[in-house]
Amino acid sequence: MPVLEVIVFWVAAIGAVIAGIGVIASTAPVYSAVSLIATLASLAVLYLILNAQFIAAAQVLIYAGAVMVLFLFVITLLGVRDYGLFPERQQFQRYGALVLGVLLLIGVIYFVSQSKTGLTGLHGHYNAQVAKQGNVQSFGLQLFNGFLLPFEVTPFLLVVAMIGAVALGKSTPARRPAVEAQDSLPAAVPPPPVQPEEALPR
Amino acid sequence: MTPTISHYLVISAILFTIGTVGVLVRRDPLIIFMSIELMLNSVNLTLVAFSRYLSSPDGLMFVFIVMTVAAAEVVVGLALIVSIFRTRQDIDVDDLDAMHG
Repeated sequence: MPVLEVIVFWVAAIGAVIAGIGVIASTAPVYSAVSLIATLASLAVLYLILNAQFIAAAQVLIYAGAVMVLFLFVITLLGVRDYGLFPERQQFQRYGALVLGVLLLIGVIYFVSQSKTGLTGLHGHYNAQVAKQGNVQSFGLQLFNGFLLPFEVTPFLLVVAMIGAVALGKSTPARRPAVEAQDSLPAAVPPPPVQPEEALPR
Repeated sequence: MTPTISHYLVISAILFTIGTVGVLVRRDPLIIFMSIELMLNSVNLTLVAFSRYLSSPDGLMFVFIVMTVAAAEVVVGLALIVSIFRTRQDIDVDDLDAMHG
């Protein structure tokens, strides 16, 4: 493996981990979202090193593009307040989570280090196929030959998600006063001014 | 040091742990969602690394499906967050105990 590739690997790997820590360690949600975008971009670089160019492109397009734009959109739309790293209630849960996270990390790394020589599996011929036919062509052939049913099911999943989002975004007049009365919020949100704001998240 | 599959697995484990701690520690549902995305992506890295190591395309197909599922999940989850925020004006997950038994 060329020296440059090794350098790029380490830069992307360390960048992914640092940006990943930034996701959970920054107080403002916008900084978290930007850190997550950096993590996803670093992972796309790692995919490139792993010779998965199509996945890297899809990562940048779908995750860093569509999904994170949706996140940033909702963050800026809601204008949520900062919740702080360690809220006042249930402190033991936070420190317990940190301890358990460290234990999880140690456990996983222990098993990975144990399996360094013992990783087994049935080796295929995909790398040779990629070298011969190119990445996207091999991926498409495999997708439409061996994985046609999952590929055909994903449109249903997307349609269901879309219908769910529309149904959740639509506020029925019958439901809204009941919920507001239950939460004893002031009825300061009349239905007509809410209309342009509701048109946004779709 | 030349990267091997173990390096990718360790990076993936670190990212997954960060995501887990984020879900457990933070109270902002948006950041919890981002932590879940982080965990999904760490598993994607594992799948791609194993796919490369085993010279098999199956892992790449799984990653493709996982990306679709993650996109659908984000759409529904963010719609839920917006809907909750509209009725409550505050979305601390510790306060969302309306379905508490």
